[in-house]
Amino acid sequence: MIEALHINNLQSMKAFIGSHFMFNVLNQIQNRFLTGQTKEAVQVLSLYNKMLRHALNTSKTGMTSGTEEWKFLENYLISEQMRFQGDMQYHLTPELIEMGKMPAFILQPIVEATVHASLAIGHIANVQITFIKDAGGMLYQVRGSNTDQNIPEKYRENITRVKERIRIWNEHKMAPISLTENGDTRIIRMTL
Amino acid sequence: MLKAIIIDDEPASLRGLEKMITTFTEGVTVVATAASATEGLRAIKTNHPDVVFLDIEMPQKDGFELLKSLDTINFEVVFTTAHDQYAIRAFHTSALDYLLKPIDPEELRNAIQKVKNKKGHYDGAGVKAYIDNISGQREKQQIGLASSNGTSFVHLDNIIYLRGDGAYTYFFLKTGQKITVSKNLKEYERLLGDKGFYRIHKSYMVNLQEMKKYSKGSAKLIMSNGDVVDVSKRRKDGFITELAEL
Repeated sequence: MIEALHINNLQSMKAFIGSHFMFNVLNQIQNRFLTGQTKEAVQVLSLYNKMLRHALNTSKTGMTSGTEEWKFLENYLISEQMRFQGDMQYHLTPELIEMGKMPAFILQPIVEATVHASLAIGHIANVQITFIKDAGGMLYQVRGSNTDQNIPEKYRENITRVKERIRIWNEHKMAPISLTENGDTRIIRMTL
Repeated sequence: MLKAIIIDDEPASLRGLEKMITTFTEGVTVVATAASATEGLRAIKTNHPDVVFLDIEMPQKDGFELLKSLDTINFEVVFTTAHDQYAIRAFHTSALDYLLKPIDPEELRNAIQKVKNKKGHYDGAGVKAYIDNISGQREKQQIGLASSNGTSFVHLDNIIYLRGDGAYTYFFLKTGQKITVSKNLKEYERLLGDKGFYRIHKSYMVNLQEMKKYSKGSAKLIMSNGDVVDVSKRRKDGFITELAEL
C-alpha cells in the first residue's frame, strides 16, 4: 500500500481507539455496573467490542465494505444514544446498505463531530445520515440539528483529519472523494 | 462529614460517581447532583459544599465557565474528565486535583483524603489561577509551582527564564527568587510554549519579554536580570525567526 495512505490509516485508527469516545465508553460501562444496570453495561461493552474489531480489521488496508461501515456507524450511534439518553436522536436511512468497498474512518469522524456539535447547542440533538446511490457514485449526507451553524472549533479536529485523509486518497489517483460543508450539513461524494 | 456536589451532564456518570462515593469512601455525603453548569451553580450556592466534582466538558456552559462565574471559590474542586490531553497536562502542572474517567476508586479515595486534610480551610487560588491561565489574558495568567514547601502561584510576567536540570526545573523570577520544581523542562515547554516563552536550549526556556540583548556571534542571550543564557546551535534559527516576529 502507498506509504502515506498507510500512515494515514494508522493515524485514523489511533484517533478512534485513543479518542475521548473510548474513555467515555469505558466510563459508561463502569457507571452502569455500579448502578446495577448490568444488562445495559454488557450491551455497551458488546457494541464497543464490535467497533474495536471493525477498526482493527480495517487497519491493514484502510478499506471496508459499505455494509460493515454502516453497521459500525449504527453501533457508534446506539452507544452515544445510550450515553446521552433522551438528549440524542438519530436516523440512518436506509437501515442497511449494500455496496462495494469504501475507505474506512471517513464517515464516523464526521458523524461524531455532528453529534457533538448538535449536543453543544443545548437541546435534543437530531442527527440524520442519508445514503444515496446515483449514476455519479455514492453520496452520504450527514446533517445535524443546529440549523445554520457550523461545527464548533473544538469538534473540527475530526473534520480536518477526514479532509487530510481525502486529500491523500485523491492524490494517489484513486476514485475521487469529495467533502463539502454547508452550515450543519456535510456531504461526502464517492465516485467509485 | 464532607458535603459533596457532583456536576456532570451525563446521567449515568452522575449516578455512577455518587454510587462510587458511597461504596468506596467514608465520611462523605453527596448533598446534590446537577446535570448542567447552571443547575450546578444553583446547587453550590444553596448547599455550600466542601468539595465539587466537576465535569469539564458540558454542553453550553462548561466546568471552567461555571467556576469563572463565581466570585470566590470556598470549596475544593476535583475536575473529572475522560480524555483531554491539554487539560490533563495543565492540571498536572498546576497541581490541581482531577480524576480521569473511568474513575479509579483508589484515586477517588486519595482525592477525598486531600479534601479532608484541609479541614475546612479551602483556598480557591489554585483553581482561580488555572481559570485565568486558560482565559487567555496574559496579564492575569499565573502558574502553580509545586515545591517541597507548598505551591507558589506566580504570574507569568514575573518569570524571567527557566532552567532545566534532569527531572528538575528552576524558575528565575523578577523578585530575585529561584523556585525549584520537580518536573522537567519539557513539561513547561508544552505549557508555556504558546504564552510568550521560547525554548532556546535543552536547558533553557526564556520569557521573550525579558530579553535584554542577544549576541549573534557568541549565541548568548542577556536577560533582564543580567543573567546570560546560551542559545543552542540547533535552536538558533528558530529563535532568530521568533525574534523577527516580536
